[in-house]
Amino acid sequence: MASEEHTVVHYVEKPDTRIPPDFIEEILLRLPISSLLKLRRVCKQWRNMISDPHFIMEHAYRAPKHLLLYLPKVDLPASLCSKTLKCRATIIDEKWSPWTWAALHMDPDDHLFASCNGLLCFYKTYTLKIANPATGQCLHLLKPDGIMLHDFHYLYSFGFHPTSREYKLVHFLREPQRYKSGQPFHFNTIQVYTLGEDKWRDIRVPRPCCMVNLGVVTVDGSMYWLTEDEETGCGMSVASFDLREETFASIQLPPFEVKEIASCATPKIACYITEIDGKVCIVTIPYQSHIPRWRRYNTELSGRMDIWALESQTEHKWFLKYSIQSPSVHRYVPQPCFIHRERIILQDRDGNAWYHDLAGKNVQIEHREEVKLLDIGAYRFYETQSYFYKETLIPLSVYAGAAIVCAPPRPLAPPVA
Amino acid sequence: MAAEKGEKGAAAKEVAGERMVTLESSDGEEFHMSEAAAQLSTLLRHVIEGGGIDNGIPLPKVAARTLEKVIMYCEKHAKAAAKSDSDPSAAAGSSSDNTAAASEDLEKWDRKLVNGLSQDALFDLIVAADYLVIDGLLDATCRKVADMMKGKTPDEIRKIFNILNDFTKEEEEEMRREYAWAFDD
Repeated sequence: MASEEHTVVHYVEKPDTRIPPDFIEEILLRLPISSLLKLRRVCKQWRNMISDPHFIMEHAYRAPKHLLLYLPKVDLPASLCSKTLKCRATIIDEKWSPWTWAALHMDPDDHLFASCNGLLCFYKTYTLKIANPATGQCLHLLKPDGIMLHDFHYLYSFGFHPTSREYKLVHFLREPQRYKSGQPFHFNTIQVYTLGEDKWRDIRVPRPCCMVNLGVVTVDGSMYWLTEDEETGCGMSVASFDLREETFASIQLPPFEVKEIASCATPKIACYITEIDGKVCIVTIPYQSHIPRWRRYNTELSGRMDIWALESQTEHKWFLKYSIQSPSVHRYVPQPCFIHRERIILQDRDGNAWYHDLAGKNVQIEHREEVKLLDIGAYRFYETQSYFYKETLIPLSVYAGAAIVCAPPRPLAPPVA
Repeated sequence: MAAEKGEKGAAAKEVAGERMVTLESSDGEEFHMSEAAAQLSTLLRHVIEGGGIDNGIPLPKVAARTLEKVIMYCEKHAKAAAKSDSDPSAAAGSSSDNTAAASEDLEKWDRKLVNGLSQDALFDLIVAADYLVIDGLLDATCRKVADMMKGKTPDEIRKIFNILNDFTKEEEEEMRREYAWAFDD
């Protein structure tokens, strides 16, 4: 019958053992990346199909969404044992099993700041790095000119617009003259880099912004953050930036009940921004006055946490998605995405991470209903970041020719399942 | 239980109080299917709504052995849908234990159905599911073929699916170098 590969092989014509040609794509779309990378070698038709941008986009769309927990590196003090814990990434898959990404080579100064369509963005001391761990491709980019000092990972974000199919990095250019340690992050300008272009562009913000709680999410091609807004009753509003049109909009916060009159100076509600089920959401928690509003550390649950989802980007209508009562024990949530597949991720001060079902709109968190997810050991629980991640074949090599790319890509090994 | 949509001009037969439709396979065999089950096929649903199906619906693209499996799938899923509709606990909350277990059982049944088919019968079922526009069946059958590919080397894939390797040795070597860590065969 069949002999070795590479010689011309004449197979006996077996009836219908060949996949109907119209359905090869449908079948390949249902395979994980690890299989697809191997199957590129079967024949030219399959290789061309798997490398086709349309196929890659459709596969990315159907890929299961996972939760990625990122723990920044920790320098343990000499009193403890004087060593450094490297930054760590853990994936929580569909079965809620955590697997640590041993093969994802992160340098010690890598700080994850965004995850989009399988692309992870890292802040480094002198550059930015975008990597697709599934394919091993990697891109190093120069930061905007002159940005070296007083720059932080939370001043960067990354997003994708489904219609223009462009990826953009956004840097919130903090006002230098207003910089003082412990002060909020005011900015009048954002700096935008479109993947494939040669340089960063400055875009003036129509109204000066002050980033509140430093969370940025991108949903349906628009980037959202919270800003101080003196013209509103609660002192805040949601700012949005359309990644295709590069225009700004302002969205009023949801109509949450404010027991006492709030103002910028004496806020009563702490607000955070997140994404749940593909919608921008605002999280409100009773305000704890000793915590500044621009803190970058994670939220402690207290009282009743309300979560409002933006129903429509055009109509600016919100609906109350969850009303969550805190438990009697201390619990914190990682940022920005802490609700996934109808469960909430919670952390305690001892390094434990849990998940708890959100069965309906009104939920009371009970310790006995928490399921242990993992133990983060000596990492700082209040610095845990959480993003959505999916394995995709999105290529980065197509953007490698731009002038801004500054170091040759280094191949990374794939995650071990 | 059976949908009311088929009333327009259709004099569908009734069996034990359930409206039935007659289907004719490409090789001339006649099959009967409840109208509720036929609703799972978008194509059949439109044909029934259009009326004029007194003499049965001819399906020249679907052979008897394939049509038999299609009907099995549709009847099973229609029955499961009817059961969950009449289940009061399903109406109350989104994920009660009953509905989760029921859908798991249904998935197991689907897997058993596709596992029992020969390769060419499986492909015929894919084509039929697509033609009749039965999304769930198309998904189950395609996933089965995808599962057959997991963990196999490219050479094994070529043997199973009768595919010619049209790469030169140089091209193969280049691909091996590009993704060296992906080729653990």
